[in-house]
Amino acid sequence: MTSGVAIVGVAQTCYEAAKDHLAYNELVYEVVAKLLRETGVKMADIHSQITASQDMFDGKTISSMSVNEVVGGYLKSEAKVAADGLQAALYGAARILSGSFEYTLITAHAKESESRRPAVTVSMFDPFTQRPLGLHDAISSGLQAERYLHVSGVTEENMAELSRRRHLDAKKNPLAQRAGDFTTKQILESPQMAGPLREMMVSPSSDGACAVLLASAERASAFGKRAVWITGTGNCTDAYWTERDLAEARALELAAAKAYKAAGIRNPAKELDVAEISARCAFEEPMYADALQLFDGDPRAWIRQSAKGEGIAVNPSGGAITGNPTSVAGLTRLAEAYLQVSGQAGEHQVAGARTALAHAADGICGQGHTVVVLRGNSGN
Amino acid sequence: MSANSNSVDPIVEQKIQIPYSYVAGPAVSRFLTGLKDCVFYASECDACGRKTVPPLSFCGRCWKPIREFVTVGPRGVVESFASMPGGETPGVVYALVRLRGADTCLPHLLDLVPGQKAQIGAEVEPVWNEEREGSVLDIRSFRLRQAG
Ligand SMILES: [Zn+2]
Repeated sequence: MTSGVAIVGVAQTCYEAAKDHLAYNELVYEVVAKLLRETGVKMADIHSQITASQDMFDGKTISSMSVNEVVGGYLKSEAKVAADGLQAALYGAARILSGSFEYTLITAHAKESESRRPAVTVSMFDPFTQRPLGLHDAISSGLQAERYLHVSGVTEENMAELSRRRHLDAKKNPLAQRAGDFTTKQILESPQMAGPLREMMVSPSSDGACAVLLASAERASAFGKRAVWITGTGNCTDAYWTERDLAEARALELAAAKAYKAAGIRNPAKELDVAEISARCAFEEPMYADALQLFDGDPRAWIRQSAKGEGIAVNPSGGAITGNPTSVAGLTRLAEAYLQVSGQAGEHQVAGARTALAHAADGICGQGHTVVVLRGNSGN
Repeated sequence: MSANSNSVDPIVEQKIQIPYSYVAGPAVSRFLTGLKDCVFYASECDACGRKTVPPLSFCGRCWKPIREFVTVGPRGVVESFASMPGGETPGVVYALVRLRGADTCLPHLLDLVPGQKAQIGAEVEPVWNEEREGSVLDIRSFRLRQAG
């Protein structure tokens, strides 16, 4: 039995509003081919694959059928997770820890452009009392944003400051979808989405795929600095969105506590070098950073600090707000955290990054959360 | 399109339409039929006392069946709201309403007359349709209660 699980390689497509030239299984092929090329691992040596996708976005039930062979699942053990790809990574890590597999290939894909997000997300809501009102996820996010702003004191200007910084950082990430040196005024004056949320404060509709290769300790030893260890994981699900206070993320606090304990992290703000947080909307970042104990006290002070690029590096990739598809966003965070602690992040590399966190949110108003802590083999 | 065409791939337009006949179950049925009489039913867990609306047949936290149904509201408090972009006319406003006595929120529309502003904590009351058929749309909207 292996003594641990490592990530030995990652691959991502660039993220775009509409990839009209490729079908979704071809996007997955693109990232898997890149991953095998860069790691030198042969598909013949990978016997376990976990894919993540949403049937409603793919427009096809059991949507993994279309990617099974692309991920090397022909006559092998492929399983699908209908949640964020970061949960697929947890499942994959468990498979390796079981001793049954030496590698597990994790993929996540979505082409939000092929459907209409409001029409797809209306199906998440209760059919008896919520769908007749036409609720979709932009509306529930708007309701959550207003509640969080009211309770925390965070303002629309604060959200714009944070959004400005992430879009600026995204300029250094060649895979980012919406990057640029926007002014807070431009962000505040972008068209309204719902409640206090403006279009530039919310992830745009996005197409893309991401792949991560997990390996047993025995296999990982051959990868040197390119092997990064999963030192802690946590996953927790809260109550339905209408049955909890939307201004807090208790499930994330619990998921993080579990991951930090396993990773031996007592002071996350000091011990983590990078945090890649799945925040589709600007208000989610301070709310989630708070639950992850990345700051203490007033979230407005933390936003001002983070917007200046001070303190712990949060979303140096630009983050999900600049455009990542549903189900892919969290696996993208894991890929980015891996690039940071293995010293391969290129222009957006955080100097000396050794310990990083990746986070994913699932469900209406972040009902479920997944946290993974990574540690690189040596400083860079 | 010929096999050696250099033009972009075709995009195939389709629509999936699947009819569903959702069974509401005893708890939600109680809620929906209550609306015909302008009454809000909630479930009350006899272990933790949580009042959930629309009601549930079980308490997932205590992992026990629920047999008690109580009435809540009809007045409530705005826990949050979100205005939607409109075109020429103002957009609709959604609200999460915590009905008096309930521990959970009911999302619905908030009707504001010109000059009124939505506020968290504001007291609201339902506006019922004349004809009611046991649907959440029997409530036309919630409206702000005038002070005094
Ligand atoms: Zn209970």
